[in-house]
Amino acid sequence: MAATDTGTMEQNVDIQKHLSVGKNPRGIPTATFIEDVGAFLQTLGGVPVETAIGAFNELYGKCKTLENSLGRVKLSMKAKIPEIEKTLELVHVLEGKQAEGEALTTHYNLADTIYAKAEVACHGRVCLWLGANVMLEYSYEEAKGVLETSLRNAKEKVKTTNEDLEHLKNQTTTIEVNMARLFNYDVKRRKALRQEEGAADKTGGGKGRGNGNPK
Amino acid sequence: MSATGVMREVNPSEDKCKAKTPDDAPDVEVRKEDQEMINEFGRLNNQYLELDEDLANLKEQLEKLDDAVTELMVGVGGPVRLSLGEAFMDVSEDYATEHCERKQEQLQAKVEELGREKEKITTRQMELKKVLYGRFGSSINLENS
Repeated sequence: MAATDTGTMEQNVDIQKHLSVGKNPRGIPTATFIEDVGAFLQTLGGVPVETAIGAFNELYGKCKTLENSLGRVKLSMKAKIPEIEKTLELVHVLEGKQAEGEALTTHYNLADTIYAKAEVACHGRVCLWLGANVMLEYSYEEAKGVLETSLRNAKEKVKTTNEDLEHLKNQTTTIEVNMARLFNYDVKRRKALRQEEGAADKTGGGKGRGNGNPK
Repeated sequence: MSATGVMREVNPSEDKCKAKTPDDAPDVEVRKEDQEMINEFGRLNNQYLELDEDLANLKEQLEKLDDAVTELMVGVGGPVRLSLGEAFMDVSEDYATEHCERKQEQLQAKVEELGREKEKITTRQMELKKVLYGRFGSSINLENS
């Protein structure tokens, strides 16, 4: 019943297959819920409990790593949204000033500790910093379009990342419960085995008829 | 029977399962629907944490705006410099007041919305706790400490 040395590699691949069922739209696996611990161990090919816990632990580690990195993605997207909103607001201000035919007096950050005064003639053109050392000139209308699109994209990205994170949280919780159940199953099995052996010894019988390998 | 610490801590090392020995717990099988409830509880914990953070942020911004409005009220009425984007604009006091008050309203609405969401989460978690504790008793841990 125990794993033989020759079959270990194949068995590992086999075990991995049973730990998850299906994936979410972004390819994050869904952890298997164990209906019955004993039966589950049988489908793994009757491996010892430690092997199953170890395999789940590995999957757990992977999920946690992914959870961390997605968490960072979400944070950076969430930080980006107010920036875009701020820029959009500024374009609205420029537009308002243009409608009133006024110039805009501003104090802008020249260097870290120096602000300089500037008059901005609002005549309908604005430059947007697109990143990667690129700045493009737009009309106010176009600039608003660009900013609104990136705002929408950023919000969409936060939403999908959130879905992935919730999915991952479900998986880690399920795996935690699975591992605890496997562990408890083993404790119970060993106890039953000990009792059986104790009873067998008392009656002067032979070996205890265990359903596993007593260690 | 197993216990799951589905906790509110950010610290990932704390967010581990706590297995108890079967001796001190009743023998209750975990059904699929139990697992789903446990998952939901965990998810709600995460949402709650995030809402808390967002709320703290918003409240800080609101305080700043409150200060700004108060300062504007005691001001002499001359032009002020309003922080917009990365720079400061020369604007009239009226314009600045209007701007700040509009922002305040927006933020206030957002704060109330998040507050309501938090409430909803707490209610749902209470329901889940009742069911899960009822089923698993002391062998499950749903407290965030």
